[in-house]
Amino acid sequence: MGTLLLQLMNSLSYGFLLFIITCGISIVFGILGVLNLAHGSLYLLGSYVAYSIIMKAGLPFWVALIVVPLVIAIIGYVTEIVILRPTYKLGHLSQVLLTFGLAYVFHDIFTIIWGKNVLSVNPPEIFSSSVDFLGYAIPSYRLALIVIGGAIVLLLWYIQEKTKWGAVVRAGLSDKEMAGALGINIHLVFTAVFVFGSLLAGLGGVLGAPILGTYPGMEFSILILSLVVLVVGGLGSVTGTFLASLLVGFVETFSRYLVPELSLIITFALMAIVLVVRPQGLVGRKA
Amino acid sequence: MSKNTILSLNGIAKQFGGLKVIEDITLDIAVGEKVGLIGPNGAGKTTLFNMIAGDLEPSGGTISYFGETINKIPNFKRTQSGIVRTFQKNNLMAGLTVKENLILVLQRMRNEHKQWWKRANKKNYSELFDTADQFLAEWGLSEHSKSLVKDLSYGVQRQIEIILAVAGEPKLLLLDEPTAGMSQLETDQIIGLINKLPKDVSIIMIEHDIDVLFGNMDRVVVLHTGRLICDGKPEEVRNDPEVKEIYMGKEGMVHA
Amino acid sequence: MRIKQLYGWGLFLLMAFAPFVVSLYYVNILTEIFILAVFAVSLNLLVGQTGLVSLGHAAFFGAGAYATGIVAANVNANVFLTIFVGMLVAAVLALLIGFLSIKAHGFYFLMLTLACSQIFYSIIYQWTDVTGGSNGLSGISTPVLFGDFTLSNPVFIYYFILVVFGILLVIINRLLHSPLGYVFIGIRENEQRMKSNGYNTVFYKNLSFLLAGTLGGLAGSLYVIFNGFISPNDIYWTMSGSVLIMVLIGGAGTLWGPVIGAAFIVLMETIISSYTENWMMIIGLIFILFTIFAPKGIVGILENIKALFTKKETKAILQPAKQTNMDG
Repeated sequence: MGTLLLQLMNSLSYGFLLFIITCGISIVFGILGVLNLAHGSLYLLGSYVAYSIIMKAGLPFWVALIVVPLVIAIIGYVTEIVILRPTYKLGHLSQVLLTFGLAYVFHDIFTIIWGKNVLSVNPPEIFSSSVDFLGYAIPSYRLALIVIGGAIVLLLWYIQEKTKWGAVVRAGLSDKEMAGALGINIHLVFTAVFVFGSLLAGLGGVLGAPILGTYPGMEFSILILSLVVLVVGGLGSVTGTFLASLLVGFVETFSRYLVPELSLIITFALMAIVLVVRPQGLVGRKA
Repeated sequence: MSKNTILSLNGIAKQFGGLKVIEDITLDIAVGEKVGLIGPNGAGKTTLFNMIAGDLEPSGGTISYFGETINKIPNFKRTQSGIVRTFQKNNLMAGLTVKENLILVLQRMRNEHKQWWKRANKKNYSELFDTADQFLAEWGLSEHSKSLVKDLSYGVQRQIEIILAVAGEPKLLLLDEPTAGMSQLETDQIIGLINKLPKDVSIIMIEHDIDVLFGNMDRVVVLHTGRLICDGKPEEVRNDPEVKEIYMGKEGMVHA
Repeated sequence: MRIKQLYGWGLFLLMAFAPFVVSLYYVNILTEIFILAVFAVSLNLLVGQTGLVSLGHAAFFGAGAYATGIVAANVNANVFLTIFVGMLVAAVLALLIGFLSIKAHGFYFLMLTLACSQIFYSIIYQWTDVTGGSNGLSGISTPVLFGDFTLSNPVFIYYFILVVFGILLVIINRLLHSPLGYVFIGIRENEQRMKSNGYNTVFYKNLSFLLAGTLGGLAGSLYVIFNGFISPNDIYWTMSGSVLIMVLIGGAGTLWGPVIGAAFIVLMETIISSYTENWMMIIGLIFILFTIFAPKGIVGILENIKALFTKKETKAILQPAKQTNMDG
């Protein structure tokens, strides 16, 4: 029972982390139509910067929690302005290829700055031990992740449903041209969305570093995981991304626990099955 | 239904969700018959075409071609057996030349399309290429033979759209507003093309131009909100009171 | 066209003399180029010719490589046998993945091919008993050409692969420009039109996928013959990305484009890595520049240059379709 509860907690925290990571690529894809293949790189950059702040500079975790997302957001801003904005006329496929080239560039930049070794980031002091939960010992960082993750989900939901920005995003998600015709500065929206997506990637990088580790090449694994979530949840749907993140979190955690030899296969099989049976994903609209 | 019937629609209906676009169409077309299909915009004409061509599945009813039910037959198979359509909006290969567009149709007609070991050029496929040249010459498009479709004017593209359909040796030709947006001269050319077709080719033509219908169609069928409301000789249809009522004040029956 | 054939034969002769002129190091680089060129040409059939952009091609490379390696290690190292099995396994995989994926379009097709390729990768990675898992497949015997004659040194392997590569190019050249090749182009240009022209496009897409996958398997088989070793690293999805980059930089939709692209990438990596470890960054930058400024690839650039000199007023300058244009 103890391990079951542990796995449950792991699934939830992993699922929430996945949501934070994937939300960025999801809304960028939904609004800009660009599948940002450098998204995993932004995540990894977040982890690396968190490493520098926490492990190298010795600053407390909460500093990284605030600074890192901002740094990544700035990187995202520059990326959108320099690479994406001038090239929208080339079409979605070309822009996807551009982000792929960017991922290659990022890869080596990371190696230059942070080397090729696996780096570890310590969770904040207060969360570095286990906590008594329902009579079982659960790593408190995981619990914290669930709480933080839940808070972010609620925040995003609130923004999307209740604010003007959210309405614009939802309008953009459903009809870009119409939104443009209504006088909404679509370029500004695109940049803002990309920046926000990068911010979330950075946040994911900080939060994920203590659990997932930090090493060269992991950006591609993270990216592919995001794609699985994206496909399962349905393109361009935040709710779908959320549900899918939890689903994938559970499937991966439990399959790793129960049938570790098959866990990789199961995750991708899930992706393939969804694509064949219900291509629009759990929540997405039919193409 | 007689042996002379090429197409038979029986109780054909189409609905999207709760929206009924086509309701209970029953219609027989004879071999060699030239039928005009008219109706206000949104009446469901293109939807009907889509179902006959196999691009859309009916929600109800049966479609029979030469006596056989074809509801489940995919669109490309229907083309192979002689049901050929054109599109309302030009649907060509814009990045290829006119000749290449035509060769793609002709090579299948000549069953040479699965050959992979010879270069597709005049030397290896002289008959195919000659046939293409002849077609283009017949329709006065030789000068455009090597031009990319996307570089040509709308009117010429429209002609090519129809020529590709004719090159497919249709038995039942579905023309969707072939003369839309064309000048009088271009329209006459199109009508000339159509009249040169073999006499046993059946045609259903969606048209708004009343003169085109009058001189060239044996029969006119009127569609309104998904139903057939009139069916007869052009003269009869023109004078039908219900038809007049529908078109009163609308552009439909006015000279294009 | 006859001039192009002359160039082709000239190049072949040049390559035949290479081992007498350059060191073993460069001979091996050339061999690697031929192998990756086969891989890129196979993907081009799918992406450039038929217009189906796939991120799952590494799976076929892997199928060919592992099947060939396993047969060579456990049964018989005769190259004709091992390559045949490699291509057969790749073909079966292509039928399977094609069947699942072909009905999907655009982004969904891309994701589905990616997912299937990763499933294959995961199976290879996990099935340690058969594939050696993350340690890779070793114990592969020296390839046997016939009887006692083995491909025991790099030069023999070089010539073997050069011949296979040459034969493949001749065959593919015919295919790309043939009526069937044109069917694929038609599907790329406007699938709906092809259907209304009476073509069973699903069949032809599956055919294209099958051919591309089988030839991708050939590339994998040749790689194992050359390298004597294969590991899951070589079939991770980033390998699919690399070969896509080769096709696009070289020039999609042409015969020589993928070949040039493969040569370009291999040479770049080789040259760059002698100065710095960071070749990925430079390739990434080059790829970005090409995507923005030279979307038709190196072949496109060469065509533009040629047009400047021949001053022919042809609208065809920017059309990669013109590479497979019909004459007459």
